[in-house]
Amino acid sequence: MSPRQTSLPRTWAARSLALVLAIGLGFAAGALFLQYGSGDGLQAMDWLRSGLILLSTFWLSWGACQGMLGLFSRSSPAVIPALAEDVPVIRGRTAILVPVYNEEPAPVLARVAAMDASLAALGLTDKFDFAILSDTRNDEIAAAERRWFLRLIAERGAEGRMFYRRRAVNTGKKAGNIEDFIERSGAAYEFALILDADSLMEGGTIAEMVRRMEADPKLGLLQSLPKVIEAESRFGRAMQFSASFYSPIFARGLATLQGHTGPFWGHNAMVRVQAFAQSCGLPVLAGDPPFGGHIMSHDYVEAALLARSGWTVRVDVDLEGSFEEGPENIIDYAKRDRRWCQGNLQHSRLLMAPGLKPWSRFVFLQGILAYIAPLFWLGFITASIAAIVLAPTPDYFPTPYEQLFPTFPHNDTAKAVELAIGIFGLLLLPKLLIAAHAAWTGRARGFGGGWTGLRSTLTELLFSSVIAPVMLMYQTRSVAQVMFGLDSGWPTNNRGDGTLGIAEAWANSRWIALTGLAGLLFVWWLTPVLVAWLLPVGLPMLFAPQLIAWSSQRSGPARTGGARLFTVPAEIAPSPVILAWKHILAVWTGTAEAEAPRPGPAPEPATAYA
Amino acid sequence: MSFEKGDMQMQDADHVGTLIGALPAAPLAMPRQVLERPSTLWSRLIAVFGAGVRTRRLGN
Repeated sequence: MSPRQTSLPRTWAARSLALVLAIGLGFAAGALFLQYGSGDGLQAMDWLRSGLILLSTFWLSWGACQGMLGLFSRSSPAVIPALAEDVPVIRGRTAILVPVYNEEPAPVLARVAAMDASLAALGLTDKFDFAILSDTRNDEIAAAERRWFLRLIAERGAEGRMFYRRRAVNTGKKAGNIEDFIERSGAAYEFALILDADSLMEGGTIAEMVRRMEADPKLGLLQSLPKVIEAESRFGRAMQFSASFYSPIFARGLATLQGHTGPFWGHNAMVRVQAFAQSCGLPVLAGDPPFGGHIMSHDYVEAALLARSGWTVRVDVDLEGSFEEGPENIIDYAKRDRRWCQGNLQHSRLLMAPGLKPWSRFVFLQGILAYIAPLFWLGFITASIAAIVLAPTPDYFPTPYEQLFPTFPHNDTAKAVELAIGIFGLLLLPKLLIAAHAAWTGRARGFGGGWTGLRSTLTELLFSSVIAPVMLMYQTRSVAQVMFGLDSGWPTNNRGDGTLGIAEAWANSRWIALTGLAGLLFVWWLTPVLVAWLLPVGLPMLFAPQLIAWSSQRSGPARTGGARLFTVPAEIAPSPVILAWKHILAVWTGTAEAEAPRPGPAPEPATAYA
Repeated sequence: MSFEKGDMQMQDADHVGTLIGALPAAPLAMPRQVLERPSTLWSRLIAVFGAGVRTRRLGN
């Protein structure tokens, strides 16, 4: 039995501690704001703003608690029971599922070739089949998929263990695609590794996941923590750094909170096919999208359904060798976020679904809050502007016949400063502590050393603060669109070079710039002194097109000869499967072979433990 | 579950659009899960809100 199965009291203790702290800090912030607002008497606007500060601070504190739990929880790997010596390391057969949807075929299938080579180096190809599950709607891309697939089979000698299937109709999108495979071929496999088109995993990691599934018969789904790789733009590299540097710590905090009810992020995860088939047949929700129809963010729901059926769902943060790619610019990020926003808000329909574990409901609520919480900040800013208009004229002589000197309103600016420091602390402290922890433990070496790690952390903090108002506007628009019934559909993910010119950036963000300009002009007209306070929000909005175009450009090399800003371990010591993928792709696409990075003579399996 | 490669059969490609390679014909049922209670105040509120929005042609 895995130790995680015996740690329910610890899980509940962690959950209670985090929740009590977050609620406590939320109320403390709300109370502090009320004290500040009471200087000239409490108005309705003060109560409203206090409520918004309470909710926002609760949400910030909850995130900070996850980071703190990640820092202070046990960092040792999961202890996996040893299998008997006479039993082969892997017994069951696994289908590796690669859903594709209008993707460029060569990079996708080169990843399959690299993963197959990685498994072959371990002598495990007979235990794994690959299924390319195409939902591509574009016939030209589909024809290219078939051509590249035939080349893949020929080069890997993979006839009989690699399959390509394109659905005539893509009912149910990705979830329907996986479901179709399981309904036709699922009984042939004990496990299925669900990937995305941009997923890449080491053979050793895949084998280790099978081993963990076999060692724990109650484990229904095992999620790895994919690291973002191959980012080239300023925005992409900041995201890549963030995913490599902070995410493992935050995910460890999440793992402490999850108990048996872990997350499923839709890819780079292994499922027990019988459990998945038995528990995860998704219904079509009554009504039209965005709230009805097919379930969009299916992964969260599938995790909840597995847990409902009594299966363990777990994220093992110690599994290395799991990779994905991320958006290269803010526009692509916002497009993906729009889809996630709709999927998460759709979960409001499922909050009261019968039989779900309380934590699963809470996870749905968290997903909804992730998109609603930024609106609290926007509401706070708007209410603060409105409060000036609605503020009563100060009454310096409340008792005119009994006082000689005027009574001035209390100046409680100190309380506002305390509040601001507290909120900035919640925003910055977890990330700064992660940087300090990385320098202390030597983890920062993978990020170019302690100094480069700190430099990258501070730059990421500055960058994420500057783009925060732009993101806030995109999120606000997404939520508004969903609430007004607009369906995002299922746009293709843009992969590869995402460089944007100023014209394209302007076309996608002029509404933000104009809103920022109008907001600043309005506040200047209302009360010029407030403009300075609003500049940190207004300026990034005003210059959103420039910001978006600039951050989409490729970032330059290190200027001083030291490590490059936002260096990540995958750049210093790329995993063999990444090198193999690049080499195969370079050969396939005709790039000069000498330029292509070559994998080592015998790719090493990924370090299973961090 | 044991399943040898010799057991694999060619599927009827008409059902799946295009197929290259002999995907194992090994069906496994995925029963639809119940996620919605028949009718709750919450679902009615959402339905009323959605209908209102659509009536005003703001959506879809």
